[in-house]
Amino acid sequence: MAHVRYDAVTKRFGDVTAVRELTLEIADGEFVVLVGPSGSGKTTALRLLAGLEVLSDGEIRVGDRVVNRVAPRDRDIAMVFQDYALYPQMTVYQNLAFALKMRKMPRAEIEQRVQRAAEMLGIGELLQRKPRALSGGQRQRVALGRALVREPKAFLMDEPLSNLDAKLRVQTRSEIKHLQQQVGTTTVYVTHDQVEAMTMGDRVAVMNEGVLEQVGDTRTVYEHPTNTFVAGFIGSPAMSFATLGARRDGVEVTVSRGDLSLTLPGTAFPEGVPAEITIGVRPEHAHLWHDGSGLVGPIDGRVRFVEMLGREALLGVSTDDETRFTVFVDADSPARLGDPVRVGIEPGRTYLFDPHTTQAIGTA
Amino acid sequence: MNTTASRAQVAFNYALLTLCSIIAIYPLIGVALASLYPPGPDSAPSGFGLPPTFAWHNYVTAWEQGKFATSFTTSLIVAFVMVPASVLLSILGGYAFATMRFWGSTVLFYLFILGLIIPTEATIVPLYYDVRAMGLLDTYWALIILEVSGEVAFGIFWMRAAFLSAPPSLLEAARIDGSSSWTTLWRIMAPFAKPAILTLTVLTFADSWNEFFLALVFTVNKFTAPAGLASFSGRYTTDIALVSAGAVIVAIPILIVFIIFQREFMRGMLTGAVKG
Amino acid sequence: MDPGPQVATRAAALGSLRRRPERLPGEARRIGYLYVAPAFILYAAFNLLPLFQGINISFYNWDGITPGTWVGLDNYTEFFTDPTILAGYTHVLILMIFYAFLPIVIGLFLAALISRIRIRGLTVFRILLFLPLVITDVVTAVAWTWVYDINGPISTALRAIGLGRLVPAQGWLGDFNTALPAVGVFGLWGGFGFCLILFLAGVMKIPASLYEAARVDGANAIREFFAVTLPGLRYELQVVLVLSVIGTLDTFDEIYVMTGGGPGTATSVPAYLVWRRLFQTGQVGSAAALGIVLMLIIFAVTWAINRAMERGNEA
Repeated sequence: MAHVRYDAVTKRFGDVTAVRELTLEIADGEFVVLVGPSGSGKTTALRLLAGLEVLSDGEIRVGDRVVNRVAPRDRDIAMVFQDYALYPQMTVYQNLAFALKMRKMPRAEIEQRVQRAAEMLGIGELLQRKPRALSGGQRQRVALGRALVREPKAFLMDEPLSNLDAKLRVQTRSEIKHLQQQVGTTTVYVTHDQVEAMTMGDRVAVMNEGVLEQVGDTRTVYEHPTNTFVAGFIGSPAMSFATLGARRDGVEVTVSRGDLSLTLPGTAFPEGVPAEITIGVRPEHAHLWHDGSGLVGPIDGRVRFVEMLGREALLGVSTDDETRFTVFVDADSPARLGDPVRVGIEPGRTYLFDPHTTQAIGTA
Repeated sequence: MNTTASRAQVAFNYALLTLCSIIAIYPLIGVALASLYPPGPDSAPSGFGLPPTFAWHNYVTAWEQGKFATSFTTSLIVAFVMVPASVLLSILGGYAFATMRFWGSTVLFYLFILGLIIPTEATIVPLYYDVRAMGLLDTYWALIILEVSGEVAFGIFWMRAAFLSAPPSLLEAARIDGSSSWTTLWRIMAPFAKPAILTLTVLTFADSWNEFFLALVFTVNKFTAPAGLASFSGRYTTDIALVSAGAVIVAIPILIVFIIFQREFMRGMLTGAVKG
Repeated sequence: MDPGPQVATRAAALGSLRRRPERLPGEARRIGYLYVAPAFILYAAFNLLPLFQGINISFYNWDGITPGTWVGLDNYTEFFTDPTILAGYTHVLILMIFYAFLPIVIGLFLAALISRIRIRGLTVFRILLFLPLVITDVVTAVAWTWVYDINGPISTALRAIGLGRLVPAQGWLGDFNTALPAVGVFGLWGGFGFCLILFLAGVMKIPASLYEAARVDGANAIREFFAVTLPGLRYELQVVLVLSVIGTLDTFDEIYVMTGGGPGTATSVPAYLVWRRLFQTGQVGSAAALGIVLMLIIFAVTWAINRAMERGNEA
């Protein structure tokens, strides 16, 4: 167990920069999730840590040791691959024991470790089977087991759940998290699924096009995104954005475009009022308008789509000039496709972003 | 693939395939029957009737007169040394080309590919004198060495393709687990590529057994089965029955191997060698 | 020893300057040579080296026993002057019709005729159709020597329908006019089964939706063949074409067994000429040159076919 540190790590493949000056510190025993869309560099960052790619620039530390030039086998890390990479001709036992055999561990100790891991993962009865005789979920456990028996300084997991069906995924998610808490090994986990990231990570590191956009615990990343990318990536259904003109109106600020006009408190703009502003609204903070509800608005629009989610429904609302908002409503609300509708935003829940730098300015 | 088939279509398919199959095996069946005719220049197997008597004794005569005991021994010795050697070298080379990056590997690999199109005729003349100078004329080793050096080009190409088809994560997992290249090859990659190795072994054996030109050039007394048959048929041209018996004798081993391993043969021959 | 980030950057930059593939820590690299060495040593010694030796020998007039005399390119210019050499190549060109062209056409035709439905027992058919190619060709050549015997099946059948006068007096393999085509038919018999199975497998892989689309567009069977089947078999066609054309250039075994190059030189082929000149007529230098030229022709043909097929693919 040890901390892991990326120091201005850069990785170039020819002309393409996959990872750009990544600096990230992962504390001992922490479960950090690298999340982002494909091409964000998260998998490359993981592979750099594993030693499966070589850095173009920067340093990576495992414990206090710089491992840039250290072979994967000597970095004391274990990896769980997306396709599990189980050795097809070996039994589960042999798969689990393989790395230990390579390190010339005495047979008794190998036996002990394998049995312990098998018990923790509930695969004790599968030890004599071969991978092709296992279900997807069982194979995934064996892949986890292979990492467990190593008792390494860090676990590296590359989208281990993406080949499982949805239900199994949710179940396994919590099992992995629980397992990690049990053994307390530092874990770096890569996924493109932000729900996975939010539910599993002690901290979440959001990456986009090779750049680390924001890192923080789940609450911070969700409630205080630092830019429009993070705001729009984290949270499902996603935040709605609109770029509007702004002007001061006494102690208040009016943001508007076309027929859409909102009044926001001037205190939200301590640095002055820019000519243009991008606002962001999460669906759970947008509601159907009632007069006297204290909501910011009203926003007039038409219902573009209705998605039934069981207890609630999602309404897609479009204003005359095509500004779109997503709104959560009760399932038995009478709004229907094409209906005119009015929407309001909870006060203090309108996110403000600079339309040019995409950085967050504040909330209003 | 269409699944709606009229009975006429199915019948036509079978009829056509049966006709073609008959054409394919007729000469072989015919020569097998001819071998049972009475020996001597007077018997004239026409291919349209059964022999007057079944002269099974022809096979004994042919075996002795054709010296097939010698030639079979030679063929088997050569094959049993050549095939494992060739396959082993191909596995080693194919593995290196598929999983390792070393300077000049591309050039080396293309040099091997060249070997796929260099015909034996281009090298046979100097080879004859080289082998003679080494004192290896008319020995098993001549055939073994020449056949192996001839087969490794294809073998390396084949095994490299087979190893390349392994998921890269398998190799990465082995690397992280601390497996050396040797261990990774024999404990992970070779088991993974077992079908390809079996196919290569079978094809290599067939090539060795069927090899005629090399045997003709390099051996006199240590001749292989095909060479033995050619000389036998040359000596007994008028005795069709006897020569036919010899032909059947030489055909049997490869026939048996083919029937047992027909799936591997198909895989090897149909996937073919893509050149250039 | 940890180089600081600056050194690392410089090293990386230098590395890319020298254009070496970047070195992964702990990656097996130099040991690759060790793995390839055994195969390469054998191959280089007995395949590549002789090539150069052969080129050297080809510049000499040599009988294999007494010292040879340098003749420069004489052995090569012979190609334009020596009728036997020209005849040899003419013969393989003719044989190519039987060994390559016809089996492919027949294989295509038959594969197109067979409806694309599951054929049970295909394994049995495949075994039978592959036999001509799998069985040692010395054996099949001996078998066909019997087939061509004056009392063999072909002659007997012709006599039975009253065409006995067609049977040549010296036998099919002994007659100047029929010997080469006879060898050709042998090759056709050897190749057609393989082509049929190969194309059949290829046809089965063509998605049914392409045929359905063609049918909806109003294509008849012939149109379908040219619009869907033929393009779908592009890859198989290329492979078979290269293999069979090269295989024909190489032909030796059946010539040796069935005709010995004869009658006269009616069925001589380049490979047979090499053998004769090496062992029988003491023209070793010429034999070497013949071998080298054969190789060059094979290279050229392979390249030409692949080039033509690639162009066809782009069309």
